[in-house]
Amino acid sequence: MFGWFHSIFSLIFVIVGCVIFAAGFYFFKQKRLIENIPTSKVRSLAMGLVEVNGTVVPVEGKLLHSPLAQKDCVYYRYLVQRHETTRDSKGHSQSRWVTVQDDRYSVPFYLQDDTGKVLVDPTKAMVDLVTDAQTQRGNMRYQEWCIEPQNTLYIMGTAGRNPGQTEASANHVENIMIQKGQHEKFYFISDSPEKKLLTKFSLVTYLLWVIGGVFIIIGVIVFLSVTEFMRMFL
Amino acid sequence: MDLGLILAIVIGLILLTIVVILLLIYNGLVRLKNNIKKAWANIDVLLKQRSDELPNLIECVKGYMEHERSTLEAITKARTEVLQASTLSKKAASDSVITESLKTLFAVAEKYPNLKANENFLKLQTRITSLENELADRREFYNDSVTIYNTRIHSIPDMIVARMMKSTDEQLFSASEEDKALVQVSIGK
Repeated sequence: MFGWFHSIFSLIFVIVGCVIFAAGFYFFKQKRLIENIPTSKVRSLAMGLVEVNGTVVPVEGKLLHSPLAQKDCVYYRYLVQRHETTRDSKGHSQSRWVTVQDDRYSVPFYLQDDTGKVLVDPTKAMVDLVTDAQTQRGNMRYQEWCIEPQNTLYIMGTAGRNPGQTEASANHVENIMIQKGQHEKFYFISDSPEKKLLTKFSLVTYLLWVIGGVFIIIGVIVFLSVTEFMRMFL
Repeated sequence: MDLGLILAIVIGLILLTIVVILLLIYNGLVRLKNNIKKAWANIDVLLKQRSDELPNLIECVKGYMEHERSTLEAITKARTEVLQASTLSKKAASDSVITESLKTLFAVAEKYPNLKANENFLKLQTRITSLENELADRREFYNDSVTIYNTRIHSIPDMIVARMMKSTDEQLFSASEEDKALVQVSIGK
């Protein structure tokens, strides 16, 4: 019984470690992608994966109203969590935040730089924002992240055909919309500048590698200890 | 506990990490090289679009600007040279002659009120100025892509993979002094 339990325990540790380690590679790859693609100017955007910086300009008549911060915005994420305390069979208490509601709403908007503006559809983007509002009432926690007009954004996404443009415009940027690509799956929107993002991605990468490595080593040590223990008694 | 085995697993893990990182670097370098090709193709498209508009522009202005014959001839010759250039440097040299000549042409056009009132000229001026602006951005983008690639293949650890791939520096979109002089001579003839 002792041997089986610890063998499974060590196997879980090794598998979790491998997953965490692989997640580190995912962030490493994304970091290199951000580093490798130069920033484009909006007026000369070419089709395909692009990196652009600019400020948010709402499409006329298309604005959302965030429920918590009560702000006009083009994207918001509203997260409600409940604090729960449970006791295990040995009487130890464990507390954690359980998600009750996690809503994301968005509308297309323009991203404007000093050369022009391009339409952006934030649907399915990985969005990284600073928290706009946070409050706690009793055991409930409410958080909100928004993209407001005039916010400065960093976007890496696929410049593709603008479905709203039925006839080709002379201004070629009007024919383009930044969206999630069919081939390029990376679609990232952030209110942090590129330099800060790269530091963030590097830290996450190294942290995941260290944590993953530690999990794998613990798993292996436990497995070897069990094997040795069983060898002594059997 | 078998410390040797633990050590072997740790070393194996480190080696696996290194192999995966090298594979990611290899893929990254391939992507960078393709980015450069794509950036160049995006410049070439605009160069061709501009070349297509230039004969229309010259046809439109030549009746008004008899005294600017040398500028118009310079544009025509540089246009041919851009289309025939065999190297990036020669293409860049001819391209820069067109850009400069167009600036002169549009500045001089201010002296010809009849030309300024010509709707066709105004349309062509707007179209060519817009193409020139896009070209300037795409030249910058191409040079940024090349600089990233050239920096990568000389940095550690990318350098190791780049040497295995026999990668060499890519050329920036800029004219060498020699090609600049050659183009000037050929246009001045």
